[in-house]
Amino acid sequence: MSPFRAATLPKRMARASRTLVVTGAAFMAAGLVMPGGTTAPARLISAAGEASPLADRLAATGILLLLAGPAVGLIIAGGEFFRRGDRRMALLVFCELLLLALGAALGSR
Amino acid sequence: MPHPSALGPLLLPLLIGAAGGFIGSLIGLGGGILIVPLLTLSAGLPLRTSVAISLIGVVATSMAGSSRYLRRGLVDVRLALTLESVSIAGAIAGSLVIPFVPVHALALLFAAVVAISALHLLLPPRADVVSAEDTLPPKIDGSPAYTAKSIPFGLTVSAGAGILSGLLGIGGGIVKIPAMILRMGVPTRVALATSNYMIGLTAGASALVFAVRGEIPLRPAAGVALGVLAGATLGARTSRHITAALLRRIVALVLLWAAYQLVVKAGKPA
Repeated sequence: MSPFRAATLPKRMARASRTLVVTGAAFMAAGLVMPGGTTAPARLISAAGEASPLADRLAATGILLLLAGPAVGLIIAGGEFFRRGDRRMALLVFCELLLLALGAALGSR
Repeated sequence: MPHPSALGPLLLPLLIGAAGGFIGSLIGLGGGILIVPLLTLSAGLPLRTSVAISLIGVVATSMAGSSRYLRRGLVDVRLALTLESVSIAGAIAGSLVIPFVPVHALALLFAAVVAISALHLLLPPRADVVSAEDTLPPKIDGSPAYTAKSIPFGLTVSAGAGILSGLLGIGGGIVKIPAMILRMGVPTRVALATSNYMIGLTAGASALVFAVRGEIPLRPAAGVALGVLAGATLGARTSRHITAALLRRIVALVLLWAAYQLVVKAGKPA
């Protein structure tokens, strides 16, 4: 593994984080300034759907983009470890992604 | 109990998030330890709702800060992902059991964690921690200029931090940072940056459970997240002009006040 390739992993993760934060913040700001939103707790996926007011959909999309950040970072890191041949770390990251999916599945029950 | 809509659905969460993000970025934490009591005590939100909202704020703090730290090569990604394997599991467990934890017990647990954090901030920094400031960050090729020790200890602490995250809406940095610096031999700057990256994963795992359960109020959460992003940016820019010791004392006093208020609240019938 060349030093250059190893150093690109944090940079790619940083780029993904920044993109998701900026896009998520734009959606959340739009949802906040738009009238007609609710302040009651809601399921994020349902709220981002078509049945909700536009303000709620925008805010929910922004929050979802923000929450996607850590998972996207994991996917990038896992892929990079796999490419480098570091199977142990790649497997660990894969298990962490599985754990996140399991948490979501258990939470929705 | 007033509904958040009666308290300015935009302004109050924004201000609370900004305070959490500003102070969190100055003292190297996610800000959840401040956001939860402020939402509960000043916005009048139920503790569990405050926990859910705070987790979104912690993810925002982490995402904003870690992109900067990752670019500078200060995050030990390998160590972070190793410790997060148990932290994520703990966070999911904590957020799954929170509906079964009585609110007064949750308030007392939070008050205890807040009080310990406040006392930790009031104590003078240890000499070995101060000297660790000068230790080099990882080399540019990604290989660390140090070797992390006591990994089993780190895994145990991370699991506990994960459970606390799910229960209390914090990232767990208050536990992870001292463990990495004092026991695992991680340089202070690297520990702060690595913890900042880790809290996003931990809080994200907890927040995901709250999100699919439909327990996150969208607009207050979006307000807190935006406030955190603004506050953290401002904090990073003004950190050179504020004395860290003075700030630590002010935050410690605010936290002690919050701990007292939470104990009083826990003692009152719901």
